[in-house]
Amino acid sequence: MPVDRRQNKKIRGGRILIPKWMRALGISFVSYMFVLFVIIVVVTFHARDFVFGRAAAITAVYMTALLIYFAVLFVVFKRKIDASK
Amino acid sequence: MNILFMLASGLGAAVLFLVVACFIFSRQILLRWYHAKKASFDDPLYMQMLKLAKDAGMPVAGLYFVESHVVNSFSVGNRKNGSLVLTTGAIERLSEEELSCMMVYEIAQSRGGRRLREIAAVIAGILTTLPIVALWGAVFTGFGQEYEPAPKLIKFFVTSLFAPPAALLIQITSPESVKYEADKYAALLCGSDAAIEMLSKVRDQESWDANPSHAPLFIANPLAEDEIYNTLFCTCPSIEDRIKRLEGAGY
Repeated sequence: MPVDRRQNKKIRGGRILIPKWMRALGISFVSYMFVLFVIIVVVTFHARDFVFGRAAAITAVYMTALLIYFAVLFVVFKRKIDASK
Repeated sequence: MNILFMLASGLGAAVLFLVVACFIFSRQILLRWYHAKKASFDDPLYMQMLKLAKDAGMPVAGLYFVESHVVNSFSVGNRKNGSLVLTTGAIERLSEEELSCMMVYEIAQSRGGRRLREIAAVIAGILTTLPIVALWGAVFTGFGQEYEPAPKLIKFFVTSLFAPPAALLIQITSPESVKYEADKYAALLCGSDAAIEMLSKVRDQESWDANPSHAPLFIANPLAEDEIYNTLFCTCPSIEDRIKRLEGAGY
């Protein structure tokens, strides 16, 4: 199997193979985005008004926390799971 | 605002209660989780375990059996109050020497003192049970049968939310060096040939539907590799690597 050493990703048949744990994290990221959507919907229904500034503020806070959380997950899993193989 | 504060404090109190309960009862919870049955005092395997524990120089509280066709084992408790759990598959398929080797391995694991890992496994185990709760919740609220797409999708969604924090907890509390140390100890007491044979038999078996968060407690990863979220809980070094180390060391 050829290995692109510069990017350290396995390539098969011209397609980059993403490790399963990375795919799992990707799916989780999308799921957490769905939670953000639900939060904005609940807040909007509760206030009976859509205020763009408020939705943007919620998104900014949520996304910052989410990105930090996923950065930690990525670092830990990369060290632990890749090391055990 | 008052409702939010009450909700937050209620959640905080529940989490605190859960952590304290896990800290005190983690051993019992794990034994109950797998319906482990205690071996009687006149069981030959119990006698064998006592002898091995004496050779290893540490007390062991009890030997338990779990009904499963796979070859695997785990240990719970600490240095003073450790318990070994063997699957019935291990008892049926392993030779006496290999079984001794497996028990020494688990005694060595208890020796290392893995209280934190055990507590983390119980807490993360509760998180990884939530998707099953969601699946049955969906079934009972009219989303369809458990094999239909809607409950399965709900289960997958809940898994994608709770598996990463559970796996993070497991990964940061499970050093893989413990496995190598226990392998070394088993090889020293029973011989490297028996240890290698035992590990080979553990490797050549089908997966077990155990809770993913409990995977690091087992002698080898019991989970199916085709489940995408199981890969997050993989803390055991590969058996090939462990066998190579044992062969290289030549105990």
